[in-house]
Amino acid sequence: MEEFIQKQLVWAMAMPLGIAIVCMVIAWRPWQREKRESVRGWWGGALAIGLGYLVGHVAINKWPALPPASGDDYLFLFAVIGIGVGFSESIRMPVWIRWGIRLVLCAAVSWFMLSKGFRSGHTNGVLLAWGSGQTMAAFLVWTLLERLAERRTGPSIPLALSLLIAAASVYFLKGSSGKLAQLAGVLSASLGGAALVAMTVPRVSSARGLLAVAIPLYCALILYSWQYDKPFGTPVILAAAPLVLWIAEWRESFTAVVGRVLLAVVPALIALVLLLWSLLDQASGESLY
Amino acid sequence: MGKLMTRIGCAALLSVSALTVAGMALPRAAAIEAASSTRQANVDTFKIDPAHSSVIFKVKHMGVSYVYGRFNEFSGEINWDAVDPTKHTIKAEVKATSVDTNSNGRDNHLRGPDFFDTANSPTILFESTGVKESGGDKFEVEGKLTLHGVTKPINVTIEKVGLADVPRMGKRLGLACEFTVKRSDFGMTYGIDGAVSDEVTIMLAFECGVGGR
Repeated sequence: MEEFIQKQLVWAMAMPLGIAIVCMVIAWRPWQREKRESVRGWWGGALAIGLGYLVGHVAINKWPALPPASGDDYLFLFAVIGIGVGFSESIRMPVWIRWGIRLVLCAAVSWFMLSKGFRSGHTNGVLLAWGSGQTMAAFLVWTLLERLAERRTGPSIPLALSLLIAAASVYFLKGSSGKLAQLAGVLSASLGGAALVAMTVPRVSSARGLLAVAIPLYCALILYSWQYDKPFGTPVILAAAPLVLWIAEWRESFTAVVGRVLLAVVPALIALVLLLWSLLDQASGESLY
Repeated sequence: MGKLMTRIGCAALLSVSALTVAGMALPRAAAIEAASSTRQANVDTFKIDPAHSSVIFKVKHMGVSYVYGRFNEFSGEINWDAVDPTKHTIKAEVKATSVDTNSNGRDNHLRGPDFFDTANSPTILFESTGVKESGGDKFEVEGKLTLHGVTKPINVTIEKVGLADVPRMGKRLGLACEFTVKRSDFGMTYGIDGAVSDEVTIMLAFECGVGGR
């Protein structure tokens, strides 16, 4: 058991956090004070979150099967693709191409994280409606958050996302999936590493890179758990939670920043309370095993 | 006239030869067909009777005790060749959603992404690919096991517990086996660091009836 806890602390938390810090430092070069304003390391966010997540994922889940056979394998694949998309977002390109790439990735997440049982049990029309709705929801969250990140540099966005996903990790755990809780923890740790660097280098931006990995993975985790968790509306609350960061956007103060970050956690706590409320009715054993 | 007689003679000779060959072939064809019918007559198709069968598994919990569970919904078909046991075929299907460990919380966890992931892989399948006699009433069965969406070859030893005509139930076949698999081979890796063992022992006891009884 001690080995299990050590593995969790080292590989699922410390390693992703450390990798994210290293990638962000290399990308944003905080030591280059005289060239500070000219250094743009957007690609660092994608590499930090993506690489940190992949290391933690393999440590927890072992190497994925190819072709992907389960939801875990698709999570790994989406992290790899997210790194590529994040790199592409850090280079100049027309907006419509950027949005097109995002839509394709969101559509892939929506389709492959819908369970085989769901896909085989519904008509094409229903599947198209579900897939379209999920795709547009993920795209909307990503694009709106990206817009916010372009306006606001610093640690608030990665820190808020880190706290939100950590809270979502507790939600997944209570919803009977320790594995999804661990994977959410890995993602949260990676975002935490990026936030730590952003605290010392205020020009660090979450735009054009970091969100390309964080948002698709976050949505994929929610969709994977959706088939098992109750009540129905809580995944919607979790998915929309990052948009809370837009609240208090008109204020420029330390209090507003702190409030914005903490406020992002509130929807996850609401979802958790709703889940626990629904579990109160069930006569269940204490142990998860 | 002579040429005509020659032609008639040749035709008659050819006809007799053809008839002779056909006559020789007929019994052989009849024998082959008879053998096929006999083999089919020797094969009984049994269907698993869930009311008199069990699918049970056990795992080691925290390294200190065994926890047992079962599956409540399953079905299968066994083609039993009374003459040639190597021609037995076994096919069984278990609904992973029917897992039952006498704990609702644990059963929900087992159905979830950490273990069986029943939303994506609702069925556990076994199909035999070859059978060898191994003495007495035991058979070495090679087959493919599909679990958690992953298919792997496995070998199991099956014991024929009994085969008899049971009053009011008809012909009944009883089979039993016990084997161990590593769940990590099938992508189920959650908790293998110590909470739940990687090795899972599966115990099967099937009573099967002809015609689904």
